[in-house]
Amino acid sequence: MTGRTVSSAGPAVPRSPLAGPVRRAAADIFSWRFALLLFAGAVVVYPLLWVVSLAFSGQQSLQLVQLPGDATAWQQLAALIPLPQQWSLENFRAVLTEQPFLRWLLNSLVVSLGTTLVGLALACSAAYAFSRFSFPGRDRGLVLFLISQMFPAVLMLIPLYVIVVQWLGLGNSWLGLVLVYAITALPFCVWMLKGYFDTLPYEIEESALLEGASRFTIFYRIILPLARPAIAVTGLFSFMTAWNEFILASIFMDDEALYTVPVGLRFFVSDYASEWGYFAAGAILVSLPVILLFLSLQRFLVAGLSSGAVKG
Amino acid sequence: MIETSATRLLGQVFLLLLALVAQLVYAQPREELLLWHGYRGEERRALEQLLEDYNRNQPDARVKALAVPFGSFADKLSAALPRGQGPDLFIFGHDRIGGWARAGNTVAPVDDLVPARVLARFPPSLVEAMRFEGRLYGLPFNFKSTALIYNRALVRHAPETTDELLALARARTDRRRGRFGLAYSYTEPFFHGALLNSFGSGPFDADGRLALDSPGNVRSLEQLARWVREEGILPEEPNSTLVTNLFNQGRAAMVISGPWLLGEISEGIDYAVAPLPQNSESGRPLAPWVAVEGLFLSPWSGRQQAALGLMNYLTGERAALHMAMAGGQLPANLNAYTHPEVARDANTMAFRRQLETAVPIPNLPQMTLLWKPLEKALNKVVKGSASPAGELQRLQREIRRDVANLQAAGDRAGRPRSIPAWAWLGLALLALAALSPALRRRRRIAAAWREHRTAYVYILPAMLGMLLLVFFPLLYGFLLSFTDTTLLNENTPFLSRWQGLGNYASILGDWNFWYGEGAGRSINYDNFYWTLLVTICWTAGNVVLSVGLALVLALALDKPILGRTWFRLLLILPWAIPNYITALVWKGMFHPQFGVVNQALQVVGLAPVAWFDSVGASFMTGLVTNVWLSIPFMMVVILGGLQSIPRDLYEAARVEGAGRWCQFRAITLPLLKPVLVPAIILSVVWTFNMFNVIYLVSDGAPAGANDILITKAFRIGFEKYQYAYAAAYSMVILALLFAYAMWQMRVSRTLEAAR
Repeated sequence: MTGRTVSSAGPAVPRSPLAGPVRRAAADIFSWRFALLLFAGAVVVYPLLWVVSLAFSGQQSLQLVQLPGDATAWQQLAALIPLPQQWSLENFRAVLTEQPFLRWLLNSLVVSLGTTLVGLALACSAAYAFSRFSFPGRDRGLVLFLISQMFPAVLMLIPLYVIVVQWLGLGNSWLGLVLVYAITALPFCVWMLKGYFDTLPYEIEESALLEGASRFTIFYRIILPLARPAIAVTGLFSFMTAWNEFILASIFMDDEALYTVPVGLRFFVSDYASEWGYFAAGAILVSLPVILLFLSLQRFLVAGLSSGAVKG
Repeated sequence: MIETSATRLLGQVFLLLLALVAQLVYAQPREELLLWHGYRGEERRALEQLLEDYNRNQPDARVKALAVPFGSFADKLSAALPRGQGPDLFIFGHDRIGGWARAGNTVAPVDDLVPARVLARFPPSLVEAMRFEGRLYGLPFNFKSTALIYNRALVRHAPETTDELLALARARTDRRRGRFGLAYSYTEPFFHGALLNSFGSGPFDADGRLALDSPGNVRSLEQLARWVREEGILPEEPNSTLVTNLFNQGRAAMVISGPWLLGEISEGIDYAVAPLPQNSESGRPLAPWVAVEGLFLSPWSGRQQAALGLMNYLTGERAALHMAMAGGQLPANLNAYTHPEVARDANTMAFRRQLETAVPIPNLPQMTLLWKPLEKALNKVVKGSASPAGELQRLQREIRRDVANLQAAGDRAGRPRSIPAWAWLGLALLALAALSPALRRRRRIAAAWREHRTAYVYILPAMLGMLLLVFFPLLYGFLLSFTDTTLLNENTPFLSRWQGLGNYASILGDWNFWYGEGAGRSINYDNFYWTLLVTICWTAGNVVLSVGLALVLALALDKPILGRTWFRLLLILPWAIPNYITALVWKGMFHPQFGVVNQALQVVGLAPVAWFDSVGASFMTGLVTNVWLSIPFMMVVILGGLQSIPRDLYEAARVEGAGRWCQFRAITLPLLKPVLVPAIILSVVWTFNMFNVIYLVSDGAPAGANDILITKAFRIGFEKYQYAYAAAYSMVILALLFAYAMWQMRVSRTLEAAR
């Protein structure tokens, strides 16, 4: 992608092979878009810096900000940037060794990937039907999906416990969690995918139908590949739903070896004393897989229709 | 033909899933004795060592421990125990005994099972703490109370009286440099207990009746208000993290805290522990509340004798010694303190001496109703927005009403214990009525099924999942909302709790908009309609800001730019990091004295803002945090949507001479709509029900004015324990959101039709 943009900007100054990219970069840096992104990036990063500096401080609570009274405004501003007094990996070491953190991380990965798979399978097929067929009860069905998001989750706790643990006997098993999370994420996924499927031109399917392809082939071979950006977004969403959930995971699981990582993180917080340093270090570790996942999904977010199969 | 094979495939997948479920549906027989606890760190290690030792010596009664995070322990217990699940034994604070005993099926009385010689191990006050209405529930294991912890570099001798304490604290306070003579979480009732009990009255009178507005209690609040407002020796907006911080940096000369703080004190600080001083105003010692961690027996345990054996072992002298020395705990078995190694530890012994004056937290069910409202009241008083006497009288009325609500439900025990025949008949009739339209139209339904079978098969798995895991719980909530279920009658038969539309009537018919009379009149923030107004402002503000900003950012990122990948990654970070910690970081940034926001305001020459004192400012804190948290998600959604817009449309528009804004209006926005509309509807629904941010950042400050409907429902359910009322509240939320969704969909459909 970068290559293409570079070559399109290139021909103006053909003297040196570097001139094009440099000019391009300079033009980017002085554009309003870049300024906006820089500003937004700063706003986003600042609170996270506190988390990072707490995690690397080796301590359990942050240094308090106290402005030096007789310093210049510039020094005072510098004092607002959170940096630990000394850098240390102690918090990370403690988080990783004092509890089976990696094991929990692995559990979370299994549960979250399971949720993503189950959720996407259910959502794609349902959304396809909602988008492409007209049948009695279609609108009502869509609204039914929405209702589930409208009831406060805290009050679903007991009935969910009854259903999952007592009726289905899925207490203390990942399958129970996967099912609950997948269904929780379902409404968003269905709505999102349906919206996206609606934007895909119907002509492709019509011609495929005329050529004798079945609905399932069309769905599987044509629609799903075209909908990659939306599938990436909903997949990420399903993953996150399972990845950060704490209360159901800790109520359903009766075995420490089966806990997911958000449950493990909450061990550091209690009513009396909380180890925020450990929590921060753990939070950073927990967010790494998400970042990796996002990085790997990125290309689906940028390569949609414009470079997809439609034109071919 | 391939079509049927596809449906068959889906069917097979579904069957496979069912088989998986079925395979897991059998209860494994349990041999071990299960113990649940909330310990962590060194106390956990000490407990586990004890259990290992026990397992070595008792091969026939193996114990398996499960550590549960503090944040979900109570929920886990109350989900499992009343349903016959859960552990044989558990370790928990004693202050919930009353509620458990009243509700039944949660904890077993042990007075017939424990011999007197075991009870003789503990001081009478701690055994008394485990008793409710004459019966003993569990054995005391460890206790936790506060005491005075002081920095020896700043304070030579611990003060003997509060007058001395005040004089010392005044000398050590320099507010401009952020130094304080004394620091503790004085707005938390657990910490205020020391002052409260030193006037001899406490929240209940001798007969266990609520007596919050007693003269002694009023005086304790007056004294605290003086310390904060006139003497200025205490920091603003205290919480345990701030107190630890101040002490560790030598900014607080003395703190009132418990043994849990000792493990967190920095190495450079030379500290000592002393019992709290005598209150010069009442002539009695400050008497902190003590929380007793008890060993409780499940009423469902099939291995009672083994469980009792373990209780006996864990409260024995050897175990107590180990908990004290290796676990840093204060064991309830007092013999441990006579051991030379423990007796040599001055800090442990100071906490032990504090026990002489400490008062166990009352274990009445009413007590659990008190914590949050009392905290709110303390906050108001120290900020000067209410007088101690007036506020306590108001609180007394409020809590008495809550208690009455709770007990009224519990007292109606004369109702049918089992479901009478007419109820079954009624149910059958109802089911018939619900089914009859379906039966009448069965031809059409069958025809529709035949005609649109493919569509239905595609939707079926998702719908079945929703039916089981969403609509059943919903139905439960719906039915619950017509009862008067509370903590106290939760486990009685459903029908005996039926009360009809009462909850809805009292929610929607809440016309008490004002407090007080005349000039002293103020808005009643507990009013349903006020909360609704705040919720609507909250939702509208959040959605408009986050969708708008996310759209701008997504557009900025849509076209190639230097470092695009990095910006994209950077901007989704708030979504990737667990919001529990980032919300608390934002809360810290808004701290009036030590928060970065106010410091930055001062750098540029503006006056600091008391963020949590006024409705508007407090609203802003939640708004900023939530917008920050929700932009990444919105941005990703919009980025995905932007990809569906064919690039050649823009080129065509450019050729026609359309400007940027025109392109945005004519191409981007309309083509983004199929993705944007569901995202907006869902984000309205989520923001409306955004519990975490409100709860963690402003916590409804000031005085519950910034609570939204969902946090209100939570408070009713889990701070007032009126489950049915909370369910009705939730049903109202559902109805409101449903109405909104229908309206929104109609609007977007008419817009579509008009185009």
